[in-house]
Amino acid sequence: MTEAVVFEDVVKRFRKYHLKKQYTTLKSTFLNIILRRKESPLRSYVYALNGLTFSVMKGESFGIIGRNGSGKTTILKLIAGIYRPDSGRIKVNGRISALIELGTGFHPDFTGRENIIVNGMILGLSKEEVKRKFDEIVSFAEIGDFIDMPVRTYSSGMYMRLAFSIAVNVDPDIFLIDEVLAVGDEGFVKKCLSKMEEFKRAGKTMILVSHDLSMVEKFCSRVLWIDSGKSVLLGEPSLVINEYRKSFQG
Amino acid sequence: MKRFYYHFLDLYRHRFLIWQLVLRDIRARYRGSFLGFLWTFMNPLIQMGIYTLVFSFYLRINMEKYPAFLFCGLIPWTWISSSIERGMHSIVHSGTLVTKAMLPPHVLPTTMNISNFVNFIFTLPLLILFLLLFRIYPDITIFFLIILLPIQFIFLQGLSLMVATLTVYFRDLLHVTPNLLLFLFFGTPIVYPFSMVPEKLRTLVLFNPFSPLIISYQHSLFFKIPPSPFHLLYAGGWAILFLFLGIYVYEKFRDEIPELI
Repeated sequence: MTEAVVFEDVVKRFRKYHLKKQYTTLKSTFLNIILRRKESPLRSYVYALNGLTFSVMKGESFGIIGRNGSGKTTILKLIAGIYRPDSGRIKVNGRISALIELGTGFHPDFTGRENIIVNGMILGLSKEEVKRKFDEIVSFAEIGDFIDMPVRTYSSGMYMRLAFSIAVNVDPDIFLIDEVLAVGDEGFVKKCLSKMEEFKRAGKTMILVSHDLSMVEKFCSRVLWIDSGKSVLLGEPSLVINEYRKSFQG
Repeated sequence: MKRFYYHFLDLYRHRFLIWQLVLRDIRARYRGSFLGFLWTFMNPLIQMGIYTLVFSFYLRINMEKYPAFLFCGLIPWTWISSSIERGMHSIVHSGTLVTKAMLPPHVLPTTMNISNFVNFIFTLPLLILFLLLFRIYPDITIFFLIILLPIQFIFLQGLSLMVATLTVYFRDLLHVTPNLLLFLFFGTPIVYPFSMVPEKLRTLVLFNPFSPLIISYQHSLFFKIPPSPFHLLYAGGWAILFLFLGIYVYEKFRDEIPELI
């Protein structure tokens, strides 16, 4: 088996912005240039990922768990190429679709139909693919006549349904999914899960970030637990999730 | 050089998305407003009314068909100022498109620019209609617009890329720019013909990159004489310079952009 995603000692840091003097402003930049002083030496960083190493095999369903702010979404954004690592290496083999947020690029004043095209293309579908899958997307969403109404009139559940229908009709090699199943009624969640099972059978690589531990346990073949940007445990879902649960009891 | 290549490759790869976003932008611009597309024309019309009152009646600029002259400069200026202002916002206020989707940020200012370009083309028939009202019948010189439009587009593409990037770092620009635009507006021969500028100041006025462009519009539409080749070359030079500068600045900071908005 070959790797779909490889992380080698990846470090990602962000500038801290809690001090006013650490903001870059026109004024401070001018002063820095005029006074020939270096940018504030006090600048401090938060390490979102601190030397993380792991790899995901092709066709694997890989779960990432951890507390809020432990670096889960940062991993997905690095894989998607939205962020660049500060050091270390990231290798990605295959076409990616990133579901970090549902409905990116939805325009509230446009109808569901109109939004499908733009959102589908943002997720990586070609023009022909959007056209070909259009009806499938509409029927999967099951939002009836609302498909011809502006998206701003949607309930959050309908919004999510439409957005997810577009997302599952994207046909990438690697799927990055970030906690997007949180909304939606039980029926729809079930439908989405069966769609994801379908992907799994089709040999797609899936990387899933979620707080829904039972779903992760059922769905994933391996789970990575991270804390403060470092890997704590990687392995069998039941084992990792058990240890993770224990950490809350201490 | 490689980065320049990838810059354009990114745009090419997203060409259909860009086109969809342009269509959406044009439709969204006037959706829900009663006069719709006519607003592109109404706003300069209102401005023209104000300037005509001030300059023609109060300050007494002595010029025949002054409102028509004004209009020939105001319409292209509206394109310029709109591109700069919307350019500033294009990346900073793009919501999650840049932070949570795999979209190269420069798709956004590019979309905005194409949309403004298309919008400008739509206003041209109205502009000509307006000139006809003042009994100015377009001459063959109107075809110089075929050169002027691309120059202006390239110019604004570079400029908006630059301001879009810089605004990510310096939000101050959002506050400074409206005043800067006002300064530029009066520093460009729009409300006054270039011939009224005192000899001594002409070099200064011409140094403003927008001047040769606006003057050329006035030549080809209002005065019906061919724009001077010097002005065209000069404006074209600025345009290419700004395009390179814009791409350079953007590419230099590109990797950090998603982290900073």
